[in-house]
Amino acid sequence: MGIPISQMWTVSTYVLKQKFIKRNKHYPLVLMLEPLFRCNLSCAGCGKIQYPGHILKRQLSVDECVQAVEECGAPIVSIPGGEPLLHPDMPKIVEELVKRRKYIYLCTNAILLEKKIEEYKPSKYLTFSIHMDGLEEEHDEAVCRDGIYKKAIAGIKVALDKGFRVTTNTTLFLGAKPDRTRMFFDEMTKLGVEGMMLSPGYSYSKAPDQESFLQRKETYKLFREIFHSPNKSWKFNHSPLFLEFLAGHRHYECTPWGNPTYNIFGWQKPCYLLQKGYTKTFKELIDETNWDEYGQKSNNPECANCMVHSGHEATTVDHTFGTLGGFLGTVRATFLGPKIPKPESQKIPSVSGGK
Amino acid sequence: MEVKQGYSVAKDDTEFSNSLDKIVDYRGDSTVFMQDGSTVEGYIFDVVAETLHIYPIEGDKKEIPLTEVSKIEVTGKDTAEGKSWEAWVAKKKKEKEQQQNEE
Ligand code: SF4
Repeated sequence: MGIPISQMWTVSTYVLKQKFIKRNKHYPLVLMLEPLFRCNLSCAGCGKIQYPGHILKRQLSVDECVQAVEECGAPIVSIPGGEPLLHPDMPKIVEELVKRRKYIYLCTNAILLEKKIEEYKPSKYLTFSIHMDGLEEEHDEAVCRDGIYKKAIAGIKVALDKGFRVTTNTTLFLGAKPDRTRMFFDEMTKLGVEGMMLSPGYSYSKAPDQESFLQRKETYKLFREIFHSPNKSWKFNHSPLFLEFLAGHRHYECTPWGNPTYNIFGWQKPCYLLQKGYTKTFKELIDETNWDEYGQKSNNPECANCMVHSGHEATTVDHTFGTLGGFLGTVRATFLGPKIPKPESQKIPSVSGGK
Repeated sequence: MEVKQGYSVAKDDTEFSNSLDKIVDYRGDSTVFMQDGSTVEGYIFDVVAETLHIYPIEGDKKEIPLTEVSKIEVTGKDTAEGKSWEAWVAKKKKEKEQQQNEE
């Protein structure tokens, strides 16, 4: 796996403390801090940037960011957006969070990375997480602008040269080509990124159950084709159990409180994708959200097809540290590789028995 | 009932509560007409405990008790219109078909 030992240590001690000392069921693992919604791209299907102009001009201040991070307490802070490098105080926000020893994933499309990189200092706490949706053709198509892939590659090279931690983050929609995705992994590996992050795209369908089921099945098939006989040098910035989940070797329910979202509206209920209202404090978010209304088991149609990273990776981490089976499964998958059913397999993990 | 630019609903309308949910989901500005004759124009992003949460076009977040509201009108354009992933896939498909027909 591509995650450094010090970060794994921080996360594991944090989770053990939450689970076994504080007995906290709804603990956060990764704060999704959205300091602004404006972006210098307009990617298809991105639901984050469609707001009136006066909303796009607003941003969280340094103090508001720091306060949210302290209030939440998660050891990892992911900063998506919008495009965070457009925030004039982003270097200061990063500096404050590094001081607080938070592991930061600054999610950027890298258009401004070469220009702004001198404003940041390399640190084990700071990772540039570069949005890459595939090879040049696929990426430029997904971001609806030519030339962005090349810019992102240039940004990755500069950041690596300067000694920064760099990962990629990729959203795969149904219809993605497994062989092209494998070639993309080879390219990113050759560049020397620390790890790659993956998430299936989120599609909310009001379709009847049968169709939802089919979509999940297609997601499994896609990831089985991508991961079967993998290149041994690929590194993913994920729990190996999450990769087994994507490929349908096991099922996990969503734990949306694991990745709480904070932005200019407040603490977003219940997750990074859905907007079911906002609370003023993190405590209110945790105490007032009816968590039983979300996740596949809830039969909420908005959750039926969802397998996104921000809803499910925290579940895999909880499983790893909460049960002997999860721990042994993680150790096994770390050393021997995740268990990926064959592409032609019809296996569907049982909703109750996956863990 | 479809909530789009130009749609308005009075506080005493039986549809008010349903419409309000849709106005909160709408990705554009609305104008709130108050009982005292004043107006507030901005982006309504939540309703909690009978209180509207709005970002006015100028200035900081505001909370407006529904008891002070007489009517809400959707006045801004829907910034999300035609921007879904599905719309984009359909557009690309059409472009490719057009390209193939031209070749
Ligand atoms: S399943 Fe997906 S949409 Fe539903 S709460 Fe979890 S992350 Fe959000």
